[in-house]
This record gives sequence, C-alpha cells and structure tokens, in this order.
Amino acid sequence: MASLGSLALFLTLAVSIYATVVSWLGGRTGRLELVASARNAIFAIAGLTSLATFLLLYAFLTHDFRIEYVALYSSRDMSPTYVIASLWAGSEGSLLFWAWTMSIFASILAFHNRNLTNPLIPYVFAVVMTVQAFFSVLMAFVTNPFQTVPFPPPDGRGLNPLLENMGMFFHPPTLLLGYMGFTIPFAFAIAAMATRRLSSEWLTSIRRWTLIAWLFLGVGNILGMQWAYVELGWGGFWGWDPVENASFMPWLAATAFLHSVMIQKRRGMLKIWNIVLIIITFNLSIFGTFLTRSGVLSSVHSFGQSALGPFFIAFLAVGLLGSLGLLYSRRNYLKSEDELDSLISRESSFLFNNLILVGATFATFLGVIFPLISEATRGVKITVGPPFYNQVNGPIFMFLLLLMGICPLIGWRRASRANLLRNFLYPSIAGVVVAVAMIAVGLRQTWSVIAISTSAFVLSTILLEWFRGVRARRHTRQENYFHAFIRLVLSNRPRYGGYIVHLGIIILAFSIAGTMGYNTSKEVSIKPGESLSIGKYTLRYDSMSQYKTARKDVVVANLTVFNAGERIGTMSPEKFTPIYYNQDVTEVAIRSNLEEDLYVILMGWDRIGGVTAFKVIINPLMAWMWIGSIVLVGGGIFALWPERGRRPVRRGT
Amino acid sequence: MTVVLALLIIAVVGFVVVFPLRKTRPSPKVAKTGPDDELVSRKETTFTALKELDFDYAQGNLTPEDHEELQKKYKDKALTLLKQIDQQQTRQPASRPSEEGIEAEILRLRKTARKTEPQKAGAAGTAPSSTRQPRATPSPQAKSPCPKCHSQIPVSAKYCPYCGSALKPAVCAKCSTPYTPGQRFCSQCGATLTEEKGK
Repeated sequence: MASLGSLALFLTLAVSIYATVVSWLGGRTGRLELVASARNAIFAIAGLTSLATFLLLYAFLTHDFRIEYVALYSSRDMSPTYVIASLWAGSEGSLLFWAWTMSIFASILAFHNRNLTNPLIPYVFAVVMTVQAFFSVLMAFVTNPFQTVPFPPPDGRGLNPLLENMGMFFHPPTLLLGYMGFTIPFAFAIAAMATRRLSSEWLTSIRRWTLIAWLFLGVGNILGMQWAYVELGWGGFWGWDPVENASFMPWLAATAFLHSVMIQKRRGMLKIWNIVLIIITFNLSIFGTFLTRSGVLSSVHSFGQSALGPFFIAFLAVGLLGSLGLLYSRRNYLKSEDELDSLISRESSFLFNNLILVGATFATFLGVIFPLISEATRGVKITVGPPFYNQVNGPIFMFLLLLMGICPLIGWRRASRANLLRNFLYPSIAGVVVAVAMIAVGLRQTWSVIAISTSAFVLSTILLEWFRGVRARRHTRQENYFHAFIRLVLSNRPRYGGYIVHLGIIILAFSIAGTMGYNTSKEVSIKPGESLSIGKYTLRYDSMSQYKTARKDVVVANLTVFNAGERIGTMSPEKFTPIYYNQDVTEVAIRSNLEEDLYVILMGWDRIGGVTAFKVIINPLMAWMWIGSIVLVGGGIFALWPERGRRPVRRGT
Repeated sequence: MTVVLALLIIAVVGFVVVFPLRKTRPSPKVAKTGPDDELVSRKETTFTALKELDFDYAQGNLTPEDHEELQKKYKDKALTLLKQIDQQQTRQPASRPSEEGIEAEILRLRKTARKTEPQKAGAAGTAPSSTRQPRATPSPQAKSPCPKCHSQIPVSAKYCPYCGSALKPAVCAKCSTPYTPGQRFCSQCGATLTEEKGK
C-alpha cells in the first residue's frame, strides 16, 4: 500500500511537470491539442492524489503502523472521527491534503473550461500545475507521508490531546482550503499578464474563486478562534500567535482585493494595485503554509523543525520576483481608464479602505517576522506579543470600521456637502446617542465606547442604505415594502451580500469591544464547601472527583453556580493527563448567554489539604462573537450564490 | 499484485494524458487577443458607471446637479467610445473582404485557373497536385452599397461619392444619441431629428 501511495505521488509530480510544460507550449503556439492534453493531465492528477489520500486514510483506519505517519498520529483506541482528522494532523498529511484539494479545484476549473475557448486557460493551467508540482516535489522527496518504518510498533502514539476536539475536524481543512484556493486567482492574474489580456475580463473569471478562498480562510480562522476559546484554557480567542497571524494576513489582503476589484470593474482604475494584491495574497498563503512547517518561529500550531523551509523560501522568492517582474513588463497595458473625480467619493473611501487593510497586513507581517529580524541584527530573538498588535492594529481596525459606514453612503465619483449632511446626519446622531448612553450608564472604557458607538453609526448607515434602496424600488416599481426589500437584496447579491458581511463585522466589533473592555477575572484558591464571588455570580466548590479512561487520568472539580443568590446550575472544569503525552490538558467549563460568558478554569490542586485553584472569567458579549461570525459567513455565501436567471460567467469561471 | 496495479495506474494515466494528442483532424487554434477588448471593456465600465449613477441618484446619494453633470460626462465618454468601436468595426471590412469582394475574387481566380489549365495540360507528366494556388487576398477595391442611394461605393469611404451623404452614423443634436435614417424623433430625448446633409 505504501509503495502504491508513493507511486501515486511520484506520478503526480511527473504528470504535473508535463502539464505545466504542454499547457504553456499550447498557449504559446496556439495548439489546442496540447492544452487538451494538459487538461486531461489535471484530471489524471486529481485521480492520483485522490488515490494517495484514500490509501493514507485506509492505512489510518486499518491501523497500518508500518507507515511512520500513521504510527505518529493515530492509535488503536482513537475514535474513527479523530482517526480521519489525523490525516492532516502532521506536516506530511497536511501537504497531501493541500495537494489533493488543489487537484480537485484544478479539475473543477478544467471541467468548467473543458472546451478551452478562454485564451487565458493554457497559462492558468500552467501556473496551477507549477504549484501542484512544487507540493508534489515536497511530498515525493522531503516529507513523504508513505515513509515506512523497518519495525512497526504494536500501537501508534496517538493524536496530541490538545487536537482531540471537533475543531480538529474542521479548522485545519478549511484553513488549508483557503490557502490553496488563492492559487487560482493568482494563476488567472499571471495568465492575464502573460497574454496581455488585462481588461476586466479576468476579474470576472476569478470573482467566485477568490470569494470561495476568502470564505474558507475566514471560516478556518473563526473555527480556530472558537477552538482556542474552549480548548486552550486561557479565556481568550485570539492570541496573535505567528501562525494565527499567518492565516489572518492573506485574509486581510484578499479582503482589500475584493474591495478594490470593484473600482476596476466600475471605473477601470487600480489595475496594477489589484494584481499586486493578488500576488501578495497568494504569496502570504504560501508564507502561512511555510511558517507552520519551517520551525523558524515557535507557535502552538507549528509542526516543529523540518527540512521544508529552504524549499518554501525558494518557491516564495521565485513566485514573488517572477510575478512582480511580469507585472513590471506589462505596466503599459495596465494604465488607468479614469481618474478620481473627487477626494470625497466612494472611490476614495475604497482607496482608504485598501490602504488600511494593507497597512494592517504589513503591521502584522512586521510583528510576525520581528523575531527573525531581531535575531539577524542583534543576535537575540525578540518576540512581539498581543500588546504590540493591539496597539497597532486596534486603531487601524477602528478606522476601517468607520470607513465601512462612510463608504456606502458616499456616491460613486463625488459627494457634495449637502449630500454628506443629508446622508450622515441620522447615523451620526445614532453614534453620538449610543456613546452618550454608554457614558451615562457608567460604561466608560474609551476604546469600547468608540468601538460600540462607531458600530452603531455603521449599522445605521447600512439600515439607511437598505431603506433608501427599498423606497427607490417601491417608487419606481410600485412594490410593497416586503417585496421591494426582498427583490432589492436579490437583485444584486454581491452588493447586499457584502452589506451582510459588514453586519457580521459590526457584531464582531461589538462583541470584541465588550469582551476586551469589560471582562473581569479572578484567581482564587478554595477548599470544598467554600465559595467565590465574581460580578453577580457566586460559585460554591462542592467536591473534586477523579476517573480514568484507557488513555487519560481525569480530575473534575464540581461547582454550583448562583446568580444573585439563585441557583442556576453546576459547572465542572476538568484537567486530564494523557497516558502517552507528558502534558496536562485543561477542559474549561463555560456557561454562555447573550449577555456574557462565565468561564471557569481548574488551575491546580493540593492533594493533601484539598485546596484547589480556580481562574474565573466573565467575558461580556462573547456569544455575539459566534453570532457575528455566522452572519459574516452567511453574507459571504449569499454574495457567492449564483443569481437566479443569470447565466454563469461567459468564459472560465 | 502491487506491480500489476502500478502498471495499470501508469497505463491509465498515460492513456488519459496522451489521448488528446492523437492526430485525427487539423489542430484547432487557441483564440487570440482581439484588438477591441480594451475599448469594449472601457465601454462596459462606462455603462456600469452610468447605471450606478442612476441608482445612487434614485437613492438620494447624489444631488440633481451632480447627477446631471456626471451623467453628461459619462454619456460623452460612452459616445466617444462607441464611435471608436464603430470606427474599428468599419475599418475591419478593409482587411476582410465584403460579399462583393469575395465574388470578384472568385471570378478572378476562375479566370486565372482557366488560363493556367491549358498550360498544365501541355506540361503533362509534371506533378500538378503539388502546384499551389496563390492565396486569395482581399481586394483593396472592395465595395459595399450606400445606405441612402444604394450605389456601390468603396467600403473605406466616409462620404458617398454619388449622393454625398455622410457614412458616419447621424446623432441627435440635443443628446448625441445615434439614430438611423428615416427616424423622426430621438429615441432618448424625444427631440425632432433633422437630416444634416453632407455632415
């Protein structure tokens, strides 16, 4: 089985190199049969990588510990769900998953363009297959997931206990799909430059691919936040860890692209900028994949030291310099068709939005690579932590939030003073009223007041925009309010999907402002029978119990929770020690409602005296984080959904 | 067993990849860049801008003055682009022969063929099948009928040499919308249309 798996990987490498060469030749010479052969090669690669993935999965499910990767990441007593998730638990398997999903995406692309009429397609195939070949080289020669061991162990080591969470089933694959998904927009950008077809047509072709990748990366990050919150036991959801940042950066750059692309489609401006953003997004995705595997930075997510680093650096250097060189050679084909009519216009607010998003990306990138810079220049690895990111990115995101409100109400091209006054009067009043109300009730944490009042302002602008759209439609088409609203939203899914995403962001901002501004925590050591109080809650420590499973020793603290004297339930934080891993793992207890989360961590205990240490946190508005995330993802899916009665994009979607 | 499976996989992959390369018909070519792409793209961008402008105005995001001024700007731009596209399209027949041109060319080729046939017959024993005919090229004198007087005129003419009518599309004097001959009122602004001789 291992030899068949390795054969599939070597064949994938050979066929992807072949596909790269023939599709490029087909594009250069105009010989369609060469491109058709490359298209079939893509289908064959999908078959080969699917076979390799299936074989590895089969090895996991049958506990074939002759394969080293299976022995390292699974064991006989693991549930089948986690055994399946073990496929991407290590560097080798996750690279195979990357290559496999890449080949599936490439096949969908090839199937949609099977008649090969789109002149960009030969070059798109060539770029996608180059990336496929790169990952195949890594798997074939550096980290082969089918590597066998001479003496198979009777049982495997099992999954790291921190990874035994449902998050493991969804978080890594969605992130990997997001990273990988940006290959196709990047391939279209390179193809557009190679063929000099740099009008807006290639943008139409990649809109859906970019949105899909953006959505996967966003969902991956959200799932990571949720997982960190419930599993890591520190009460937070985002630690500005290098690998978290690595997945956040391409998402920010892609968000900038999704906004600036509208300017090119509507006004024919920012053509070079859009290509630069796609190049940055793709290279940041590769950088993220590299960061997890290189071992250059320590992170809760990294796979540890490996020999992959130099390969990724070489690939990044070639990809970045090559694409920027091509861009420079095509600069004359990328001249703007128009110019800004006014600085106070929707275009300029889009431009600011782009600068801010790219600024946030750069600030985060600087923070990530700062340890490497400091080590190179001063010989000491200095890591920057959450305070740096919060101080730099906090104000940046606040300004971005404000622009989100300003942008929809400024008309394209220009906005007069009277127009501004008319559009911003009510939203500004809403923002001020919320700020005053917060201060009046004693919620005076500066950043939270600014964030929540700005959120109110933005929410009002969105509602006002929708109301005016409905009114305009009612006036011109004689529809009732309900029908006018539904048809307005359905008439332009990308636009109104975007507004729904903005709504999600507002809810997230509201939640972050509440959680970060008004959270309270307490660390206490108490004996059974004693109580602790935090806010309106009192927690009575009743007892401690222990139990054993085949894989872990578990200690549970039992607490009864009272809200203003009334018993509302029990909470049972745990700590367990896995048999195969020498580390304690915390299982927090959370009581959640729309107002706040009560979060209890079992810190430690004295076996003789019975004194037990707890950390209790109240995180206000935390549930809104997940509600906002659902709204954001829903908006993305709504924008992505094909419009009824409208044919798919003419060529190459 | 593993070796058989491996060979089978290699054979299937090889067949799938090589299959399109078999030579059964002449190789079709990948579509090449069209010269009008950029202009068409700019035209579409301008039309989208015009639509957005109207929606923004309907929603109250633009004042009537701004709307009118910007609408005029974009209409002028759209018109200029349409004219440029039209000019490119009217230039194309010069390189691509019209129907009359093609017929004239066929006639010329037939005459040439008749002249060469007796020579071929006299030179029996040579290999006539390998003799290649000169490639048909479009006549520089290609003609098309004048839309007004129907006289045959050169396709590149800007004015009809027989009736003097302008061969560029006429436009409404008020809103610059193009109109066809015989139309009495502008389809966009409703203004009465007057034929401008020799414009």
